[in-house]
Amino acid sequence: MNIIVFAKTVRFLQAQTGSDPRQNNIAPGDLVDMLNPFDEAALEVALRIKDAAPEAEITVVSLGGPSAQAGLRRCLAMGADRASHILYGDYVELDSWASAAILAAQARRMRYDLILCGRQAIDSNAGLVGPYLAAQLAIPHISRIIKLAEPGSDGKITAERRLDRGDRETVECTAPALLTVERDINVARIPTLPAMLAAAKLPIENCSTEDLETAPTLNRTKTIRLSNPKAKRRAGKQLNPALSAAERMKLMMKGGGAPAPAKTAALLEGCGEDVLEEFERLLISSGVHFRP
Amino acid sequence: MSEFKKLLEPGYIKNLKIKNRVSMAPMEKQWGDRVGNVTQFYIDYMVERAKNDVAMITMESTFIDPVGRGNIYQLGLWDDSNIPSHKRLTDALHEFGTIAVTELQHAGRNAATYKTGFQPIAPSPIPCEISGGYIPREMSLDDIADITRKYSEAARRAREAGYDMITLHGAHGYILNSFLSPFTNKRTDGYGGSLENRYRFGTEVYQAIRAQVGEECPVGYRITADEFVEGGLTLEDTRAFIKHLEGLGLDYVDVSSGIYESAPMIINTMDFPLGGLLPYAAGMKEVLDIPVIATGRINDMRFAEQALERNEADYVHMVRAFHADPEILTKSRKGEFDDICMCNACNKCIDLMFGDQRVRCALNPSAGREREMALKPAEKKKSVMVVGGGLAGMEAARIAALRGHDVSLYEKEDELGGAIRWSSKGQYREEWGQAARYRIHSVNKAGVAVHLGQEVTLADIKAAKPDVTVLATGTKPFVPPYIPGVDNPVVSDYAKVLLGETKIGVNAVVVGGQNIGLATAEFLTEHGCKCTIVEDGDAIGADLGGIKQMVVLPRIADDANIEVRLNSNIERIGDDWVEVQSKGQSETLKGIDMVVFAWSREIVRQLADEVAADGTLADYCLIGDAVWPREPIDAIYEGAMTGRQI
Amino acid sequence: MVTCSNDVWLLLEAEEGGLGAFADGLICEGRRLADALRGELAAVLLGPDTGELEEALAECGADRLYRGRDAGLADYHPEIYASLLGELVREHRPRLFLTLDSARGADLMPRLAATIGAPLVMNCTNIEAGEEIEFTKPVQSGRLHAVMTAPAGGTSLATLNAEYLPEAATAAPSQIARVCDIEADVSAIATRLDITSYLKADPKTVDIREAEIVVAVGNGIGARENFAAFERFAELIGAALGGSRPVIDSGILPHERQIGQTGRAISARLAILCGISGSEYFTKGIERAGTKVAINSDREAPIFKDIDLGIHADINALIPKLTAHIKRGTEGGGR
Repeated sequence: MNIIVFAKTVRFLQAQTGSDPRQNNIAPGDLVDMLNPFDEAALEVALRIKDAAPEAEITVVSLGGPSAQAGLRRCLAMGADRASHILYGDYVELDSWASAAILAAQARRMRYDLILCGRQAIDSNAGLVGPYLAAQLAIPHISRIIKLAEPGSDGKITAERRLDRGDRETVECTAPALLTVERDINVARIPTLPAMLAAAKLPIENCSTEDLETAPTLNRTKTIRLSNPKAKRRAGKQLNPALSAAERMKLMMKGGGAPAPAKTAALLEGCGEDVLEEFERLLISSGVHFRP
Repeated sequence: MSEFKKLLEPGYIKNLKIKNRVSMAPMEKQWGDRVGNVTQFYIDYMVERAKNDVAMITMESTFIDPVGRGNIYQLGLWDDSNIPSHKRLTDALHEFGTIAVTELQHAGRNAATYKTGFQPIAPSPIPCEISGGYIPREMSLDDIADITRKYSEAARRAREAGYDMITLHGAHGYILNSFLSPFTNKRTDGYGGSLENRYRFGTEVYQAIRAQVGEECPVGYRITADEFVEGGLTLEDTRAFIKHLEGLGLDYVDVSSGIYESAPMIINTMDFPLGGLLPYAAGMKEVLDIPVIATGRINDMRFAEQALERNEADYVHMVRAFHADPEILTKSRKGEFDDICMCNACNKCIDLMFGDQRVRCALNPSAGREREMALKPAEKKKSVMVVGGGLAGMEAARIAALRGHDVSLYEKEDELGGAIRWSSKGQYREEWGQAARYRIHSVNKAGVAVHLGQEVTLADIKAAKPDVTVLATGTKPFVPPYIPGVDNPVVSDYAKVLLGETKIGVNAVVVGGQNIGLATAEFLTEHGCKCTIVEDGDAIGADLGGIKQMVVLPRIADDANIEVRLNSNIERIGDDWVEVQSKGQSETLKGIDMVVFAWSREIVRQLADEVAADGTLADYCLIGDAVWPREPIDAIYEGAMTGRQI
Repeated sequence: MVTCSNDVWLLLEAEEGGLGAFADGLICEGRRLADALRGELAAVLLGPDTGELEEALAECGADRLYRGRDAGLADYHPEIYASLLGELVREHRPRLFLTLDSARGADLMPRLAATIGAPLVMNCTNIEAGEEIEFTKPVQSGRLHAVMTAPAGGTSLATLNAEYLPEAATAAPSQIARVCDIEADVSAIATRLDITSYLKADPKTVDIREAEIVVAVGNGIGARENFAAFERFAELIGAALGGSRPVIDSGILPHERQIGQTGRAISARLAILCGISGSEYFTKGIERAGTKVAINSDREAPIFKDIDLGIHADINALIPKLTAHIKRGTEGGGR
């Protein structure tokens, strides 16, 4: 089984120690280069497949500047078989679609049954490279994986994905497929010192976009500025010029927002059969399934 | 604990590292000396809080000029002789890595001549009735230049005294605020009228301070986001002004609200929602890049964390929360929420401050007495019997047990709490429940043997032979036996009503219009009953405290179901009528199905009288409301002192 | 350059019994953007009809409503939805196509973007439609917000962060939307993914904020021994248990189950509030809950002010009776 893991070395803002709020309090030391933890979890998924089926081959591919080398070395130390670095200095300027296009070009040169990557990178928080890559390679994609069954020899992939409200669902497809994984799907192994020393000597395949015979496509989105985060609850009603001081005071005493018009319901009395029936009807119409 | 991810993350203001996001807001405590110096107990108080990891402490409004002092025992930096005592304070805080901030203030029109000895000065001669109605002198251009210079000199002293940051007090109707606001600034010269002119004084003061302290020292501004008076400043105005100062290099903003005319908006009572000013802080943050500090009834670290998580502010100011429990941050971090003595915004502290007294805390008697009230283990272990499980009894029992005594606590009801059991009822008063909750929890935790549902007699005490007996039997409702018809079934009292022991009718007469009477009346209307309050004095709510009055009295006035009759007495009570007398005129109120006495409390003193008459108990004392009916602050203080003296 | 209309389209999600907790906020944002762009607001809803849904939809505040009523759309299937919506967007060319950043939205929208070749910004905290459309989204794990733009002229896609949606004042002008049926042969859409099972969260362990059904108990519970009856009831209806502050203070439930201002805010579809008086400290935590039932022995309790069903009764009598009543029914008739 051939597995490709796409792993990004992110430039992560781990703290804001700068003195200038106009520069978003970013000091030079605040940005660190590190392997994206979501991708690390994806690699761990691959490694666990390999633990069970040692003939599996894992190739880690990374698009990025020179800093991506260290991330790839870490992947090798964790147990990946091969590493491939698509050198592209301006990778921060690429949007998700353009990045996916380059990675797809690389994937097309390789043989694979399974592609794994993290749900999102912790720096850009876009969560788009995985699904775009699947679309460009025209292979099925399952998102937000929190459990992966051991792949069978029939090429069937069975994964459990996370939904809202703590629910989950099981999805099946046939290989080749692309899976994007949640960060907490597993706890990634920490490479040992000997493994790291050994990995330092392993070769990393280097290539450029020219080698892949692809050029960066046009970006579909562009970041125009960064700011410190704005509040979730914004001053809305407080800025209403039509409100008098007394009305604003009342608004404040109500916790900042006039509540939505209250729903009024008739009050049922006591615990008679009719009350129980009415209550039960409401439970059923609200979609409650009784579990005796 | 990861629960406080945002709250515990260090922040940076200029080049100062702030170790977490929790800050103590400026709160005037009247703990200085007569000329504005810092006292030793002031330092002890702050050290106790710094020790418990507060990142940043803004001391209090610190006057820059005796004409503009707000309070008699306020801190000041108006003279070089103030510097040494302030330096001792900042040195003490720096030992714990806590950032010391001063807040420079000139009270302007809010200053009272009886405190300062001077006529107040202000942009326009508009008196502030709340602080006594002294008519200010309209400031001349020389005055303006003089005050600007005094701000700058105070800033120099602040730096020499070791303060790390300087906040300009531009809120609450003080001089900077009053220049900015069209409500108080009616000038026609270059300092009034247009927006630009009203900005001028604040801008000049800021620039003078900046020139004095240089670029390195963070300078911030405390703003009243909304004055909540007709014709006053609104959020739109104030955030535009702060945006203007931001452009001139302001480093942070501290978002408060209100002026003296809308005083409850400055210091929110328990009638207000938690963090009611957060939408204003968020509104500032919408337009600013600089850090925003939020304030206003944030009494719980979990709530504070949520506010930061929603990006409504960068730092949270909590001051009353630390006043009530210096360890709130350290306890929260360990997840020990039950151990926190949580501020319930009863505003006793503020009432004392406005009453020109030293500030205390109703719930935490140690506040401001850290050194003298420090717990010392008992020299000799004694057996202590405490009779009465109200605030006084619980506090005495808790403290005695913590000091190593063997303590048993007897309560005749089935639950602890005493007067709090009923005084925490009703939607605006339930925060009082926290005062009981904390003490019940800590009585149990301290290892006190609690006996509920047991009424103690003299014989019981003699049989148990305790070394020390503490009598804290409290009060019960007083129903005057001399009123004709008082034994009619329609008659009940505040405790029965609030505790739900009486069926609530539709038309009640509440006798007594002070705190208990108002609580009872509001509780009744919440439960669908109309009320007539019969008060023999000429005002209701006289015992509420100034700010509380500004909140509760308008609410009572707005309540269509409450009618107030002043200067009135109950003469006679019938099956469905009450005869009321006012200034010699009698009137019969008909259709009455409840008469509730909420007028006065009667001391429960039978046991104390028996003990005194018997005279054989070796060591006993009487504490709390059983001595004389007063307030929770007195009950808890007496319990605390008794527990320490055993 | 591809041209498009000035319309804003929203993809709504049907939840059992209604449009879900955040639909109002989404529609509110959609309306604001449509007005800014001087276009119309259209809503899309896929899935078979239910009575209540139709009612909610008619007054949802959109100008047009696109309905896909095919039975094959009842459950979300990524490939079917992406293909169907792709056709629709290509045909109508809205300026913006928005949905919630839910599990479904986050799964669907990248597929749709790839299908139609449109720019997409995920998890937006704000969208401003001026000269250009500016999308604000968290980056660096929320430490910063990035403002992004997409080339003018074509359709742009975005998912919206539910937490940042306005606390909707329910859309005031309740115009009735023009309904357009989506004609499509859903069965002809080729799929490669096969959804084989759906696993509900365990109400005992689910985060109370996420729980679908919540039974909240308050002071009215009285003695601690009474609590077991509520546990049985919660188990019967598959609800997570939460409590108001007094119940947490007395140690009946752990702190992470506290609902309210100093605890957690729930977003349950159905909240059953037992013996809770309804002070603001508590009600702040149920603002986002859907259907609310309150039971209290005090008929004037403020909790009765804003609910769907109120019962004036002793919870310690009612809840065991209701539990027995439902059990009789399920065992007898097998509903």
